[in-house]
Amino acid sequence: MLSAVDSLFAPAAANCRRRFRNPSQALVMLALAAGLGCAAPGPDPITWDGARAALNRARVELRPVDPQAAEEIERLVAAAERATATERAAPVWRREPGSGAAAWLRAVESARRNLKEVRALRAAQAQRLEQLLERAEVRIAAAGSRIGRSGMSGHDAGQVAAGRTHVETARRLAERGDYPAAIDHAAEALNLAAELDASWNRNHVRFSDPSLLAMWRGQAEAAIDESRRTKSAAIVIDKLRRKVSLYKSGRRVAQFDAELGSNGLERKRYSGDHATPEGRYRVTVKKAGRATKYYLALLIDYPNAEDQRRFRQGKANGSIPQRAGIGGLIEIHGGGGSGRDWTDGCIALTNEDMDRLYPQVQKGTSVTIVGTL
Amino acid sequence: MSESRRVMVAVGLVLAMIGLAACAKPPQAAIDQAKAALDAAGQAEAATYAGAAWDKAQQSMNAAMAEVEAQAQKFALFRSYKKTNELLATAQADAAAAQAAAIEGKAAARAAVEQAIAGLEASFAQADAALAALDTCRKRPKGFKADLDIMKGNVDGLRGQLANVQSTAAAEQYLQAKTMAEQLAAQVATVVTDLENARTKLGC
Repeated sequence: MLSAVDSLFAPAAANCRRRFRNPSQALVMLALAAGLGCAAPGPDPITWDGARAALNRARVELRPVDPQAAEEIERLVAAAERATATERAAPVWRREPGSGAAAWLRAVESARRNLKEVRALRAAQAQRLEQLLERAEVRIAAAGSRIGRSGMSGHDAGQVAAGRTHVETARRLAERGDYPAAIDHAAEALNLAAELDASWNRNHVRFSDPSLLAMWRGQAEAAIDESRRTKSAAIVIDKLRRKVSLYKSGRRVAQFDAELGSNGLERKRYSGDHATPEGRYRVTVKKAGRATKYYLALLIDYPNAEDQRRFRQGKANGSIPQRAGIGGLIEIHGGGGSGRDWTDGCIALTNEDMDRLYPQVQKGTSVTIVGTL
Repeated sequence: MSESRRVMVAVGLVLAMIGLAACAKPPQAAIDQAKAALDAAGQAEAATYAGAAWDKAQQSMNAAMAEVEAQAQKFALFRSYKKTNELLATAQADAAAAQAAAIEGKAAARAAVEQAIAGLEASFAQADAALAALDTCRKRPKGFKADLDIMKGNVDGLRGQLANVQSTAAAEQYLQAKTMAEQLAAQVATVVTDLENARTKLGC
């Protein structure tokens, strides 16, 4: 008996396998085994390392995109580990065969479902991002190509730069897998592109105003008619098309590309607004050599009576700053050819075109500047 | 010793062991400490800033809790929490390491963003200086003012993006802020180069 009692301190499995020599020894062991629970060996251990590794990969993939799904996997893996341990350690009558496997299966199923959803979501996000970026890039590139032309201010140039930054940032974030943030940047780029387009359109909307068009056409026709009647030269400038046309005896004999003020599509209102005036003018001075820094120049009589009337009106109603002057020194001059609007309000031609225009024009030649025809 | 006396001794021993075994409870304090350490690591955003350490801490915790569960299933006499305590100590240490790594990782990300922002501010100062130099340049070729206006617009537009980087960093989204800052730095560098080239060309 003492040896049997001594043997209680030996490992349980050894106790259960021991042969008993007398009834009392057997009785004690039976009591232990039946009444109190002798731990029988668990089922053959199954290695869940494959599942662990796969679930860990799933967790890593899910974490940046769907942290809650990753946490769910973490909880299910913890539960599976406990279920496996329970299944192995539980006494035979409390054992639930397959409970560990079921817990792992739950975790794997959850991971599979979440991964499928997340991958579908990411694919949809990637597609949406590409669509946004494609539109934003095209519109910002278009706005960028307009920089330097009248109506595109430094502010607009800044918005183009910001738009490009948003596009590139969106691409970098997408490379990191951060599609939601990438989409935000792409959407912001698109917003900027829309603002740029709106700004551009605001600058151009007046060129489709029927009453203005009628007025401009009337002015141009009057100038051409005068040229025909007086058999003289006349210059007609279309600001929107950036064309200078030379008429002789009512017939167009030449046409040149022109560059305007950096805000040249606007109608000039006061000094320093970089706008190009509109109206009927005359050449007052022909400049050459040292008289001009732009090769050859034809000074016109801006401001005329109409410009002065509008200037006074603008001052009176506050639309023109009180300290502003009306400006002057508006010329058709050389030095052009850069393909953008850069002057302070003058009309610039290439030196070669000025060589052709200059000899055809006299002091007093009519110069009609219109928005468009 | 008589047979009945031996039986009594044996039964007494069994009862004593049952009594002793009843005292073998899970090490709740150690479990709580390990869980608290893991929670602290989670709060420190270990999943974001120390992914590998966070995974290791979770696996250690899973192993420790599985061992607790395994012991709970055993007959009280055969429960031993020695290994459990060891595993819990490991889990707690791993969680503490994950927390430390997360704090370090987050601080490093923050420092990287702050450095990038400082670099951007320096680049903008350089751009402003170049613009100021160009603005006072005596040599002014045709279209100079219009070009200068556009260059100023570019710098201002990009400066607006710096505010975005700063607000993203202020929201502690350091990884996103870093990506934004890097991209912006590349853009600003191009503008600064253009401005410097213009200065050199004009001899300002």
